Amino acid sequence: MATRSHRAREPDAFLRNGLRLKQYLHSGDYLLWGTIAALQLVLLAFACRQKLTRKLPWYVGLLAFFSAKSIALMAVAQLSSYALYMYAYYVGITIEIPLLILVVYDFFKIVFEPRSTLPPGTLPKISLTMVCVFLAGAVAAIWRPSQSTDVMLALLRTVHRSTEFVVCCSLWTVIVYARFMGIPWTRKVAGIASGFLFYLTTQTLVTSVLAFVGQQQPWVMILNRVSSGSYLVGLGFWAIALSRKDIPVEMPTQAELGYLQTLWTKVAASHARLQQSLSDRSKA
Amino acid sequence: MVFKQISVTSIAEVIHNVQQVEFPTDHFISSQEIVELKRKIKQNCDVMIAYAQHVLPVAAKGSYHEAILRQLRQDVMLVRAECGKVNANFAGAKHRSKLTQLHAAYEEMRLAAVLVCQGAEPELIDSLAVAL
Repeated sequence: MATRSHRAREPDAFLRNGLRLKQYLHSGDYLLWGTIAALQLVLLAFACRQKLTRKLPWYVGLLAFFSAKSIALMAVAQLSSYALYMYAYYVGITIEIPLLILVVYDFFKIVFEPRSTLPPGTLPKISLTMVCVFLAGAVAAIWRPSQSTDVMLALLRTVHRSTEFVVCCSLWTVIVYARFMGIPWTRKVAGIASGFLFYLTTQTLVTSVLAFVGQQQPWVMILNRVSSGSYLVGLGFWAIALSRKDIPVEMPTQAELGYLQTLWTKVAASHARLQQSLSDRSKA
Repeated sequence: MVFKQISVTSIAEVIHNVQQVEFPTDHFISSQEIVELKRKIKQNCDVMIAYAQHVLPVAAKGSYHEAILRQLRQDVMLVRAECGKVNANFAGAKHRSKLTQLHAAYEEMRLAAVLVCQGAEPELIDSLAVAL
C-alpha cells in the first residue's frame, strides 16, 4: 500500500517515455513500502490466529489481498514499465473496492444484527442515505471525470475516486447510525473500524482534492505522502485493536451444567410420579 | 468519541450502572424533572443495550434466552425512540400522552430485563427489579 504514494504522480510524459517506477523511487519510499508490507503480513497472521475470520471474514480477506498486492506491485515496479505499474495499481484498487464494501457490510452485520429488533423504518433510512451517497459519487464522477491521455487509465481513476467516496461515506453512515441509536461496539471491532475510518476519510479527501484542483500543483507530492501516512496510521489502529482482548461472555461452567442436569432429573422424576398418582386417582 | 464501546458485560454490572426511574405522577411536571427523567432512562437504555450486544452473539440461536435478549434489544430501541419524542418544554395533554407512551415502553423494557436476568442470573432478579 505504499504504492498509494505514487497514485497521482504519473505525469503523462512518464507514461509515454516508458520509464520505470524504480527510477522515480527513493530509499525512503522503499522503507515505507517494506514496512507496510511487513506490517500487513503480521496483522494477517494475528487476525488468523485470533480466528477473526468468524467475526470479520472480509476484513481478514482484505488484509490478505493487501499483503499480496503490496508484494506483487513491488515486483511490477522493479521489473516493468511505469505504465504497466499504473495499470496494475488501478486494477488492484478496482478489486479492493468490492472487498471494502464487504468489510462495511461485516460492520453493518455486527452492529445492527438482529435486524428484526431495529425500530421500524431504520433500514429504509440507512438504504436511502446510501443511495444519496451513491448519487453524489456518480454526479461528481460525471461532473469532473479524471483527466489523462490514456482513456482506460482515466476511467479507472474516475471509478476509484467515486467508489472510494461511496465506501467511505457508507462506513460513516453505519457508524453514525449506530451512534445515533446508541448501539455500542466491542473494543476490537471499534478499533478496526477506527482504522478504516481514519484512512478512508483521509484518502477520500486527498483523492477529491487532487481530482478537483489538478495534479500539477507543487504540493501534490505532500498530499500523496499524507495519504500513504494515513494508511500507515490505519495499520497502527488495527495493530492496537488486534492486540486487545474482548471481554469474554461468562458461560456456565461444567459443574453448574452438571448441577442443573441433576436438578432436572429430580424434577422429571417427581413429575412422572405426580402424573402416575394422578392417573391412578382418576382410574380409582 | 465516534464509537460507543461496550462497558457492561454482566447482570451485576447492569445493576450497578442503572438508575432507578420513577415516572412523575403529579399533573405539573417541571422541565428539570423531565430532563432528569430522560437522562436516567437513556443511561438505563445504554446499559441494557450494552449487555444485550455483549451476550447476543454467543446466545444459542433459537433458544429462549436469545429470544428474550432480542426482545430486550427491541424494547430498548423503542424506549429510546419514545424518549426522543418527549421534550423538556413540557406542557399540555399532548405531551402528557407522550410521557404515558414512554412509561408503557419503559415498563416493557423493565419486564424484558427481568426475564433476561431470570435466564442468566436468577438470584439477582430482585436487585435488578428494584434498581430499574
